[in-house]
Amino acid sequence: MVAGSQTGPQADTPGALVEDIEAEGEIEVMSQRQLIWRRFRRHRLAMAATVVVALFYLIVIFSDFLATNDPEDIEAARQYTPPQWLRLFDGWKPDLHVCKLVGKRDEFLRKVYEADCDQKVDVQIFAKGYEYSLFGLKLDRHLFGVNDPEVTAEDAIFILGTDVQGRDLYSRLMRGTRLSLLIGLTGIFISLVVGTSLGAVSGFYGGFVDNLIQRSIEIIRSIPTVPLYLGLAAAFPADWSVERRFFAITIVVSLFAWTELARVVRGRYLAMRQEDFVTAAITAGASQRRIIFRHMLPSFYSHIIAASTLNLAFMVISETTLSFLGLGLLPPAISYGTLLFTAQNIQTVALAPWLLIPGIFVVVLVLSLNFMGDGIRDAADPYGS
Amino acid sequence: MSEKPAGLDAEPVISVRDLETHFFTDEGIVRAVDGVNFDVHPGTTMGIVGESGCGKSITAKSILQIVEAPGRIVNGEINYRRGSGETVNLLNYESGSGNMRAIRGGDISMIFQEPMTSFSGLHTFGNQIDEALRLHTNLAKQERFDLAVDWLARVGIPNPVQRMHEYPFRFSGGQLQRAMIAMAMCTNPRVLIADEPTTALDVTTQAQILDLLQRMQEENDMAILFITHDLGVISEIADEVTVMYLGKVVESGPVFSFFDEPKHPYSRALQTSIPSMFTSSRERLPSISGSIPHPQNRPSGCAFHPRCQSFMEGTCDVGEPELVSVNEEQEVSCFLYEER
Amino acid sequence: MLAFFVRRVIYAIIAMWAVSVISFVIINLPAGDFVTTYIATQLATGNLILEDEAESLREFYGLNDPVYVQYAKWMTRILQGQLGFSFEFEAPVRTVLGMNLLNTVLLGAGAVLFIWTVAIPIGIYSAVKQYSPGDYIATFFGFLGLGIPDFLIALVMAWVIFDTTGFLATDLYSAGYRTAPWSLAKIWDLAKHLVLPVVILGTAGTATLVRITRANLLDELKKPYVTTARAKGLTEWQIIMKYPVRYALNPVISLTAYILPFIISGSVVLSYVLDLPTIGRDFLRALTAQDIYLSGAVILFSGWLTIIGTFGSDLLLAWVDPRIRLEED
Ligand SMILES: Nc1ncnc2c1ncn2[C@@H]1O[C@H](COP(=O)(O)OP(=O)(O)OP(=O)(O)O)[C@@H](O)[C@H]1O
Ligand SMILES: [Mg+2]
Repeated sequence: MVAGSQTGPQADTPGALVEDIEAEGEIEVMSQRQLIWRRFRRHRLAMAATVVVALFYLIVIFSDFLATNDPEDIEAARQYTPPQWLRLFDGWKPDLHVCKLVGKRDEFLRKVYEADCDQKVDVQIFAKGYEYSLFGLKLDRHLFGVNDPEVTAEDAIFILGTDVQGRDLYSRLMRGTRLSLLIGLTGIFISLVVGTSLGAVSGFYGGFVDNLIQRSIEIIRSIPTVPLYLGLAAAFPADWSVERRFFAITIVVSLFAWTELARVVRGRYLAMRQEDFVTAAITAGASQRRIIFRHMLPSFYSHIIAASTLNLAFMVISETTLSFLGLGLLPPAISYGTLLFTAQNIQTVALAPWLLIPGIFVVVLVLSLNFMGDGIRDAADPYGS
Repeated sequence: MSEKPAGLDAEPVISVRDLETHFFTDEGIVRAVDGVNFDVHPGTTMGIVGESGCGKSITAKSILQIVEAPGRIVNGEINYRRGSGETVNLLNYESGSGNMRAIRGGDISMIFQEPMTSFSGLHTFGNQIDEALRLHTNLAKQERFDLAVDWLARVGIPNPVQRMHEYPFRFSGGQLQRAMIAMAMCTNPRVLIADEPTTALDVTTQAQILDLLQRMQEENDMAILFITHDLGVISEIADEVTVMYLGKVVESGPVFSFFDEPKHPYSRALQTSIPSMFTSSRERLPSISGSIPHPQNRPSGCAFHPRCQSFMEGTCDVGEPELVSVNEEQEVSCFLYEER
Repeated sequence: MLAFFVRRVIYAIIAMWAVSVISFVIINLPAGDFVTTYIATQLATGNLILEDEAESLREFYGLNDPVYVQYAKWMTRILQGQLGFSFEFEAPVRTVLGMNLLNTVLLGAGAVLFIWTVAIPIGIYSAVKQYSPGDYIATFFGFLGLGIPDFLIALVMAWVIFDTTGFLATDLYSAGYRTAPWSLAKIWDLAKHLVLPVVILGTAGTATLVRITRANLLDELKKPYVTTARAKGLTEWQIIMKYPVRYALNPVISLTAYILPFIISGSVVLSYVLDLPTIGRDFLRALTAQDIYLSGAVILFSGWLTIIGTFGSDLLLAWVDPRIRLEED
């Protein structure tokens, strides 16, 4: 505590004392926040991970802008086209292009496409493509691509290849990022509300209520999640709309995530009760609500953020797993899980390994969230609790 | 304390010279021990005093070469005189070598500040004491057991046979400290290093443990290196005193001259901070003004100068005083005495 | 110790009850009762079921009773070993699950064993040689194992093996052994097939455990009792193996209880990808077909298996930790 000594003489009325203590509490919180931030910044891995997570959120916002083709466009003839990697140079000359796909007839007279690097397709910046809306604006420009792409045209680009229906994996991946992260965010919101309130109740009232909540958490945690998720997900009728299913799955994946949060909040709560400035505020007659919101909650924001970050990783994995097994989101919804659903059996993967690229995104995202969460937790609580 | 023990005239068993132990941390080098000299004579007790963090424990651990990483002994000699009269510099032995391990717990034993955490809670006491005996004696299993029981009885632990099979959490703090003394003593060491062995205990137990140590010393003619920041304890047990400040020795000499005529301003300040019987418990102890600087931003010149009553500008904050003799017995490192 | 034991038993019983209620709720969630679903599927395959036949089915399964009576009947039957009838497999659930339950237990136990034998030595090495190249490698793989969903690990490993050797790593038995009676040869065959699934299943758990073992050991190495041991003249290796490792093992054991649910979860996903004959595979088929007795039984058993495993690890913990074992009652 920083401002201990200036209080003494003027504090003759109880009211003044409360004010003083409040001011003191604020200084403590402020400096603590700065301390945490300073410790966090020194954590290089966590900082890098935070940047990666931020990039993912940019994808969420700008997914259509980043896409090159309409993610829903189907062209059976272009199924399983391998990735045409983006090339930045032609020899030494900067030149954004891809190798051209040339259509041929195979022995069954089907059209197949092969990359021919002698011919190149120029890739434009801010290319004109399908229409989408962003912040309420109708737009048709995309970060890069070819103008007015046609899946059938020979100058189409598929930088990460196509799936069984000839849809552009890269553009679908941008969309999938949006849905998967939205599920996670909504789930976090639910688990935040449930977790912090149950944790606070548990810590504040103690006794029987605390015992009940704690034992329930233990039991919930001892149940394997996947069978339960699957059981619940299977109970949803298959004819539900995409949105309805989305919310149902969100609730399912946040069903377990709140327990960790409740535990953290309760633990911090109990620890805080012992701390000087809370005791001081209680002695000075500050109201209970005031104590909780002005004094206690701010000091464990960082713990909540850390737990939520780790939860988000867990939810992304849960959604991906459920959808991969065909019991989470269902096509036509596009998420990491439904994208990986197309790579379900090993023969398909052997034929079109690029279908696993969404998996790389999942791994990078989950790892970054883990590093970031660990970093925040270490910064908030360097000695471990 | 009244009579000078004979051992003080004998050759020292341990003679520490220019010992420097530094910690190489991410934030920089911490000079925890920065040029320490003292002698421990056979059959006598050398007390090391100083405020928390001045490097007492690290000095002790350096003698046994058990300083944890990132700490490293970078300079100095630790001369140990064996029973045969041969003198070896312990720092010539590798920390993990057989020679060094034979000294540890054999010739030189150590007891620690926190009896509760200094034992493994997952092993029986008998198991832990037997380990010392197995390493340093050639006795058979049953003989070792009997010897351990004997030692437990000698340090005053009731039901020693049963205690051998019990886990440390069943012992009280005082009992554990006694048990640790038994564990350190059972190999008949020639030197016992006691690192604040009474700090964690209540006053009555503290007195009993001090008595016990003195008795053990007489019975075994053993030298003790006694570390504490409690001058009351020093006056009771020590024959000689070394005062440390920020990793350096500032004064050393026999215990009576230390109390009669403390030379260094730090020693004087320490002595006025001893609580007397008449100060009420509520009253603040007259502690030394200012706080101990962190070893990393050590003040220039004499490290004590920002807190010193006799600070001389232009001298104390510029040069570093050397440890010099002021009479036949006392040595001090202070500019007040250097000019003469 | 007795108090501890009693507490754990009571806790396990309550947890098992809670799981049974949850399973029951889940199997009753789908709209309409399963007889209706059954009739619909039978109709689709051309089998006609008469309305009074359906009614007698409803009567038999007590679908006209109040919910709690249904639950009580269901529970009673389960405790008597009658798990109901699987419409999807057209056989009693017990027959369907029988062998596969054993396979699941084998797979789970194998994964736990794998995790222990791999994670503990790596964790110890990582802590003792902190910041060595080996430590960094272990930490890196640890994080990787943590970040990759089980099914992806399974998929990628199976694909890599298939791509390089042409060997399709699925099933737990070679064709000739599936129905053969037990013999040494069959056990050997099973063991060979178990290796890959066990490794895949154990990877994520190993990652977690390495991290925990390392962190715990690093903590323990700083404790005063280690210094005491050093001052006695033990070698560094003797010290580490005797004291801190013993301490660090306790959280490892209690952690096994914590990762058990993940192993069971993982085995369901893995069985699906690799087509392994475990209750997980049956489960997914049952779920898609809304075969409630089978899926209910799987949820119930996977929960119960976990609780029993947790209970076992609690007892193991009490056995190795005198502070719990000798706790005053
Ligand atoms: N592991 C370590 N890393 C960095 N610095 C250390 C470490 N251990 C000790 N030090 C430094 O060494 C200095 C001396 O420590 P030491 O334990 O010897 O103090 P002490 O005199 O025994 O104090 P106390 O009376 O509190 O036991 C301390 O100031 C501390 O900063
Ligand atoms: Mg110390």
